[in-house]
Amino acid sequence: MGLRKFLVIFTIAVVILMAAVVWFFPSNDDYRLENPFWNGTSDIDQITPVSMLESLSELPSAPQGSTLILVPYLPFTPDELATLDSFISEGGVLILADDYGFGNQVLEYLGTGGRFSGESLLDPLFNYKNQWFPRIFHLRTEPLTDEVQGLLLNHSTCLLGVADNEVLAKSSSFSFLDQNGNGERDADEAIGPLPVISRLSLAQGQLILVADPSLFINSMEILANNYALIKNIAAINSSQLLIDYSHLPPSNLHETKSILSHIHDFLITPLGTLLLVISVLVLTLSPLWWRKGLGREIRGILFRLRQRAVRLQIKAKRGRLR
Amino acid sequence: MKRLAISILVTVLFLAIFPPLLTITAQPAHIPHENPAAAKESANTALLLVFYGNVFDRATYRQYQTAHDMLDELKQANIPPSLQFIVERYNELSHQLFRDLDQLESLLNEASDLLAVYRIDEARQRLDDARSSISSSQIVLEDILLATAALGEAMGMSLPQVDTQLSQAYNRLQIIIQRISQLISELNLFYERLVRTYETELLVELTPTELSLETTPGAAFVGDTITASGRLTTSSGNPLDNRGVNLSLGRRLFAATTDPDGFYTIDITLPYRYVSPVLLSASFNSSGDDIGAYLGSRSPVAEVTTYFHPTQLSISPPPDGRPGLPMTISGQISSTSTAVERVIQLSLGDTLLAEETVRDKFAIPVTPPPQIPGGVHNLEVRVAPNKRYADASASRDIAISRIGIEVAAEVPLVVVLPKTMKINGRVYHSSGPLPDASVEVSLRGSSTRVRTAADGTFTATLAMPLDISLVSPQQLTIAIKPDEPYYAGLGLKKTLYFINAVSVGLLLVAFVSLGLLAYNRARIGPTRRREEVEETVEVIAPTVPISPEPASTIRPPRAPRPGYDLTGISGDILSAYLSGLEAVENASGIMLLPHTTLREFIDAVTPVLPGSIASFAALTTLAEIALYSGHRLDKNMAAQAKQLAATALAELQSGTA
Repeated sequence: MGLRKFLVIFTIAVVILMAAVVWFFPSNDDYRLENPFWNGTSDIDQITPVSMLESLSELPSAPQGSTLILVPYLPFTPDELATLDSFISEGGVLILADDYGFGNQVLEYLGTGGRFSGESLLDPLFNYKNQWFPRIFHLRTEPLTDEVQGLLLNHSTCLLGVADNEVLAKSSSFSFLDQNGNGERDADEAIGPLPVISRLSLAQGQLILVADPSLFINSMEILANNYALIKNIAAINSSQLLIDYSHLPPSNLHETKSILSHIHDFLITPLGTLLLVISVLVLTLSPLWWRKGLGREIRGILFRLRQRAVRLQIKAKRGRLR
Repeated sequence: MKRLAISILVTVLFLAIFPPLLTITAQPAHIPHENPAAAKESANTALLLVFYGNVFDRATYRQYQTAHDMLDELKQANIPPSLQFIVERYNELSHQLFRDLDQLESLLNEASDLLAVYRIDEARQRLDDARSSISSSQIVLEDILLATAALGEAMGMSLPQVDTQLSQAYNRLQIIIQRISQLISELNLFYERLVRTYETELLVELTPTELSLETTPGAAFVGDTITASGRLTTSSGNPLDNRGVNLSLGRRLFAATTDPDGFYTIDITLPYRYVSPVLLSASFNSSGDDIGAYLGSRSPVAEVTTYFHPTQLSISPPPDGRPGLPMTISGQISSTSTAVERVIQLSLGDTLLAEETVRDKFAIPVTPPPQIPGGVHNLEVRVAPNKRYADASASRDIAISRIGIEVAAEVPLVVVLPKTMKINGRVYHSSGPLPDASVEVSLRGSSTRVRTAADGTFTATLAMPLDISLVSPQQLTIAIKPDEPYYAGLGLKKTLYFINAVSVGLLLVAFVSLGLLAYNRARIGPTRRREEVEETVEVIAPTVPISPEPASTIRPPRAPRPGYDLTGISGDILSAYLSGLEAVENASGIMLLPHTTLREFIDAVTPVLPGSIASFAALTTLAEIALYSGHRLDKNMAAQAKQLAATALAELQSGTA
């Protein structure tokens, strides 16, 4: 009995402790504003106020003056694609930052010629630490690249099919597209300069393609002049900078936090609070009830049931002895 | 219960493990990024040599500026620290080499052009400079060859086993540097050819020429036309007819042709450049049949006094401004005539605020852009030129700032939940209240927005529901956003303490209950707990007869026992137990009924046969082990059981107390 009780109490205590840890531990999801670690985007909030969108349906109905940063790591529904189309058509600025996700699904829907290659862009000479961090210093002079002498990417890809007059940034002539993923330049692999940032106007809005969403994470924002580029992006429109969360795959921690948040939301409702109060009362006062009156009767019934089970066991064993 | 607990644990583990497997498969196949701080260093030094090869290759095609630009890109390259110094020095030498080569080519080309028109003295100067450049280039190239060897050694070229890529890049670089050397040799040959040409031309007797220049009038207003004229003759005074004469007025060039008497004349319109004097000069260069016959010549420089009406501009801007709030820039344009209309532009930084046409005094209202950031900005006023009237400009620094606002809010320090909070406040600035400003009050996820009244006051209401916390600090945020851009926004944060009365009360009840329970248990003690157990047993097992039957009572018939198959060690133990059982039943009068357990039977007979039952109690334990336990039985236990049975019989027969 003691062991069982210990196991139950221990399990409950561990669950509560784990829930508390999950609740208070900061998010470590990629690209999340509440993530203060190297792969979060909490530092963007220091540059300019940013609003998070849990769904593309939260986009403003009048998108003029709004800039949306979209990192498409999950596929889109037809409705979402239509929403993006109307967002740009009515004057919004869409910054589609993708490397190995579903950005091409958006581009196909919008009918543009540009595409994300989806293969790794490596630069074995002009890089930071290793070839997976290519330096970009071929920049066209224009407001988006104002005060940007160079950029640093992180496991990026490149753009295909963009017109020369749309390209804002290109990799060096030593860069190449590692199509077979072996980390070395093979004869049939494209070499640089390759476009990595482009801008084109669509209807009343703009579409800016960035071949590496890692530009926006905390650890990359402080390198090269990535900070200046982010500032220029924030300055495109003075009213709203939005980041879409609905196409970022949630981590286990995030999902667990969501569950706990839902539980918390239920518990702070009157019904939830009442149920919690009743549970607390039952748990704390049950030892008293257990010894007297109804508790004793219940214990008696349980004991008789247990005895019957023992007798049945004995009968069975006696039967086996024959 | 044990099984239930284990089931719960297994279920929890299952739920904990399985969902991650599902979410992992949804991740992109490529690594999206890695932590740059933890990234491994890996530099490809062979590509550095490839890059230098490309740079020198451009130089061999005489694309020196491209070569310079490519070298500048090398700052972005990942160069191991061990090579940093060599690479920097190598770059400096390369830049020097390209500058020398570029300069050498320019000098040789200029010398060639000058020799072509028999401007021998000027050509001589160029050739002397070219000679220096050739020497410098050769020295720098030797240094580069040595530096290349040093760079290769630093990269491991001297090792027994050299990387193929590195070896190929190094060899290629050396080949290209050899081509640079050939280029210098070619330029040297070109130099020597020009020197021979110079020496040949020196021997040729060329007839000197003289060129004169005068302007009529010698002074004029900008925009007016003057006439430049002169005469081209030989040194002996013979006119040279039908010769081209080039005139230059600043950067503007004009061409004239001599008449049969060697005179030339041309009308020149003075440009609208408000400087005086302007310089006019003429030159004659031999061409065609004149080459080898006549020396070129230049006229003396003629000064043309240009007249214009200077303009003075004075402005009186306010010392500071507000975004979106109009301000007036006043000033005065002074010139020889105030009747002329002038176009005036007012700019704040890069933003054009106004452009108007004014005369003399002006007062122009301008409005700084609403989004302009605060700080010192440069206000520039420019007056455009108007033909004979010169331009003018003036600038002042203006401090652009927003009017600060303040807020006084009544916020309680402690709030007892649940409660509807009302927050009253007043927004004002130095000159009075701020009406119609947006006030957003946020607290714990809920927010409300109101606007200030005409007197700057506001009242915001927030409903605070229950939650499960007991006492918690919360941050109240009041954000004020005036509609007018010349007021600054304001954010105010205050910490409140929420006390959840219901949760605190429940917690007290729970603690009190637990305290009472603990006290109760401590007071009762172990004796009472045993009594409670016995009482419980008494209540629960009324079927076991406790009191022995009196002697006169007819004993109930013994229930027929099933025929057991008593084999093996367990059979021996049970046989011993049954023999003991029969004796105890006879002695106590209490029967072991089918529904009674062995333990219940021994508990029932113990009060009846105190002191005579110890052996039988031990025998009962052995029987229970044989029946229910997984304990391994041995012959000792069987022997012990028999011994205990015999002892029990003896005790019962003798009636040992």
